[in-house]
Amino acid sequence: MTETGRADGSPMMFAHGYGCDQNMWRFVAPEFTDTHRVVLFDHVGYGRSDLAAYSTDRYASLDAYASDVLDIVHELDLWDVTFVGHSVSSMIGVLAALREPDRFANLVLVGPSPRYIDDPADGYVGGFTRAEIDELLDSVDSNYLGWSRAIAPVIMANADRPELAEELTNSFCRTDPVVARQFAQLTFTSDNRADLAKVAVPTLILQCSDDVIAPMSVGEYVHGQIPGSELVVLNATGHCPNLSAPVETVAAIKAYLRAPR
Amino acid sequence: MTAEPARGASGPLEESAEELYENAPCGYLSTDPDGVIVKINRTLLDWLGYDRADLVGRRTYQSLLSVGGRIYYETHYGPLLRMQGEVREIALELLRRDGSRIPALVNSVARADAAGAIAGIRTMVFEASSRRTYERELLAAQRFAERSAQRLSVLHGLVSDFAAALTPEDVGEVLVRGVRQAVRAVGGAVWLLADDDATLVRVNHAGAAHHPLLLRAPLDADLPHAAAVRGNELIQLASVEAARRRFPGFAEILADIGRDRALFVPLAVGERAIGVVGLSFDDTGEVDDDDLPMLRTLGHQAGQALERAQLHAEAVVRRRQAEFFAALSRHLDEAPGLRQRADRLVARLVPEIARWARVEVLVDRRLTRLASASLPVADEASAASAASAASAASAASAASAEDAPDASAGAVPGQHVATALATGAPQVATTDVDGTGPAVEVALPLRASGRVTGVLVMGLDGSRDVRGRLGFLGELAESAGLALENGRLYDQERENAHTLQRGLLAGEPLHDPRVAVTTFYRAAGDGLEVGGDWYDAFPIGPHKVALVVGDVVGRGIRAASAMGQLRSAIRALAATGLNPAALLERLDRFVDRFDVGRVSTVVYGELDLTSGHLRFACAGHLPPLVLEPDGDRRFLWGGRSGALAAHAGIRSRAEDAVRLRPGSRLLLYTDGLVERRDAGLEEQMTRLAREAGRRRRAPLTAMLPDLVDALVEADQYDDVCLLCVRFGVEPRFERELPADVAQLKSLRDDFRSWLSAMPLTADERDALLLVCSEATANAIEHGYRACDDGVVSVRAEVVDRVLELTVRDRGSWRRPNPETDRGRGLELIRSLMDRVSIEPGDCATGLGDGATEPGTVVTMRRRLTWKAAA
Repeated sequence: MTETGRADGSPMMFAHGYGCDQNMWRFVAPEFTDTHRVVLFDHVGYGRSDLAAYSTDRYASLDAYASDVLDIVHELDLWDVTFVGHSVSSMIGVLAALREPDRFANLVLVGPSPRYIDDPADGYVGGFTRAEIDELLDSVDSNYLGWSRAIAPVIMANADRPELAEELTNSFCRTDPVVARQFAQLTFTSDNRADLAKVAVPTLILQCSDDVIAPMSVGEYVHGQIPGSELVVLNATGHCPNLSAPVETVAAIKAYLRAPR
Repeated sequence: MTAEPARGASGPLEESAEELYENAPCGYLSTDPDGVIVKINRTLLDWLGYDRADLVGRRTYQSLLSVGGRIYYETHYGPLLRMQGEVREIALELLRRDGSRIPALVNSVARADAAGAIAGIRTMVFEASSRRTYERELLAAQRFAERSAQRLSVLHGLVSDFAAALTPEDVGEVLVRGVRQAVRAVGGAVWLLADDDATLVRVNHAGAAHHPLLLRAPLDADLPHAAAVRGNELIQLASVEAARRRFPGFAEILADIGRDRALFVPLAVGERAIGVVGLSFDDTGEVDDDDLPMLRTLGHQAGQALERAQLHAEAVVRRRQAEFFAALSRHLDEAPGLRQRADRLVARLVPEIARWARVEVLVDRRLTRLASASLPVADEASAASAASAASAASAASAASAEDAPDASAGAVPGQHVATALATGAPQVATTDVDGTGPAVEVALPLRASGRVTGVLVMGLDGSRDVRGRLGFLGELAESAGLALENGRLYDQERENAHTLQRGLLAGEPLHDPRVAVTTFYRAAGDGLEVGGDWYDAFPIGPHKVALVVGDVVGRGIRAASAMGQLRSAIRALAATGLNPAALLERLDRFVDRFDVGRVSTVVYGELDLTSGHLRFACAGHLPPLVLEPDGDRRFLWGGRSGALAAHAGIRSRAEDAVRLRPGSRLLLYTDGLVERRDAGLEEQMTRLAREAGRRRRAPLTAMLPDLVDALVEADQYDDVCLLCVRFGVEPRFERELPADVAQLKSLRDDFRSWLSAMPLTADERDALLLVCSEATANAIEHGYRACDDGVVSVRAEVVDRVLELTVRDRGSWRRPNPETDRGRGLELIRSLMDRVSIEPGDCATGLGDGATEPGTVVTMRRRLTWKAAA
């Protein structure tokens, strides 16, 4: 966990999504340190988090991650938090805000999706079929970077490659294979649609123009479900405007936070 | 090839940079920051099967990736590229134009512009089919290792679950849940071989089809689960097609529920299968050949667990039956008599076992109904559940199914009862007596000492197999028959004892106006056995009566007999003119010598009717209580010594004497009157004195039951025996009685006794008794009508040969109503008395002694002839 910015500023929490650690916010978070008390953290299993805190049983649902968020909120005694969540952390933020709405002033959901898998039964389009998600989970197996780091020298017969260099490479997204696998499973198979309507915290949705992971229709769905939410469609493409278009992302968040409500 | 490779930078192999780029042994790709392809080399185009024009400026790099790759690109690849400027050795799959895939390892480097922003991305693609194959093999090996570990852990988990499973249903539940989970089957079901060894019955299932063939099927059916049990073989149906070839019927069921495959694993004990677990899969299932040995092992484990569970279940049923019989027999034993036991029996059977039940016994060769119970129709639902709860108890039975008689469906009503009586074998008849659906009536002979003494008839749920329960029901009838016979024997003995006791207690009445004696006996609340309490009163000489109350230790016929002997002994000793202390000393010797009634307590007194002198001695007995007419009351604590023959050796007894005033009452009683579980003896004796004092003017015979009601709990565990003596002729007759017509007789008795001391003609006496009765009855009506706690006081006095009778109530006088009998009572009174005056009044509170007594007062006078009856 990293805490920066004005100690007396109103608190702002940044939560990274499935994939890489808190470095995802490296271009965004610094823009708020002048005005806010900025809290960055890594989900368990990522970055410098304590892997010993992980257990497969405990982290069997996104609620466990929401509990971690609330633990930080309590630990630091944060009130009126602006919670900025990317990707799956959008939903983690939603779950946390449902449990303790008093603690949160705003939710900023970057590329949120309550459910990735299409639900033909009620016409919901999440963007993926069940088979596609299975394929993704497969590719996580073959590519989780912690695993490939250990196996790569064998495969490539590059025993002379310094381990250190290999470790530094890709380190921002390196995580324990078990954690990565389960987190991917949770991220892509959870269904939090029913939770959206219960959100009672002012919410900003940042939707990229061309996001294969969370398509426009999903952003609109989230906007439609969360009462009083605001949807801003960014020019940025892809799923990570925080990296690919930090300026636009920051501007959208600031504009939202400035707007009188 | 022996030629040395060319060295140096020139020669035929020399390539231009462009040539090298296009035809390098790896793919090259350049994109803009959003991934749109700006340049791509020939090698990669060839691999992908695209023309340059298809891709450049039109497609993104991401769009060439498989879906998983695309997501991976967004979540890992892209972010890494932006954070560290490059990514290396990412394993991805590229999609060819024809949709096939090229496993690849890719490295990418981001190009930054002057401002540090990403201007473009260069990507190098290595074809990695063999690496990927190797990798996949590694992954497969890893997964296999994981699966093996998982299988082992599933096996361990299930085996320990089996160990905890107590019933075959539990084992089935463990199997369905555990195995389904382990191999990711969609549906699972367990069938067990029924007792007939010829039917398979499904005991547990989840996500399985609901087809009748799957619920219950003969073992020889052309179904895969039946085949698996028959051959004790594992049957794998790898596709609906494969299923169709072997089990066409089942294939349709499988296809109907959208499953692709099915697997049947026998549950075996040794070489014999006793059940089967079936699994059905859709395309997500995971079972492969490596799983089969594990499943087979599991089948053996489950088979053993089942066998154990079946034995256990049988033991449980036996135990429950034993518990049921034990509880039933305890329950019946609590009530000693035949009728109570029969009542308890049917109350216990309905609804626990039966919808209705009745006990009929032979009395003088005629069937007499002793008890019956049936379920209200509204309770049918709860009865059904109760019945199913009890079914475990009644299920085991099979043993006697063979000697079960035929059900006489449609037979003459009651025929089965008669047949059961005649043959001594249980009879079954179908019926729907209570209109709540099919039922059967079972007539079970009740036996005692080899004779059929009656029949227990029960209405049972007809949808269950009754024949299979006859063993249980037979045992039930046997223990019920025994309990009822014991109840009958008890009744007989009790009747004998009570007859004896009644005979002993009945004494000849004393006909002497100077004394009136009343007695009261109440058996203990449980009514179990006759007690050893007794009273006696008899004349000794013309002017003396002996008064006795005693208590023999123990109960039952022995106690009754000891009591009889003591009573006779005392009468015999009293006739010899011994004083009370000496009489008790002799009695000690009698007890000691014949060892009868040792440690009994007794109070013996002799009342001189001329003087009112009472000489008495108390052997371990509670002190008599004297109630004076003016309200004084006292216990006679003198003349005390220990219980009869309580110690060896001769001991002297004490006696004492008091003088009773005319109108006094003397109360002798046994300890049942004052012993209470919730109060000390001293407290109870104080209560006795108070309650008895309040009733000193009550009509004599009504006083004792009333006093017992006030002092003794309804479920008193001891007998109560009282004797009350009214001594002497009261100068003034005074009675107070509750406004209850039941008190009239007692009042009349007292009044007659009082009148008998006067020289009256029979006509006079009858007239006065009639007047007293009529006036009091009238007053009682007022008390009833106007006030809640009506009390009537009756007073009579003779002054100058004029008898004045005053009846006072606390109600308002009712005007004579000629329409009713009571109204005519007043006319009758007027005709029999010289003067009648009525002072009407209102309800009033309190009825004090001599205080102002509002209420209605009827005063009646009649001059007496003062002539004795002829």
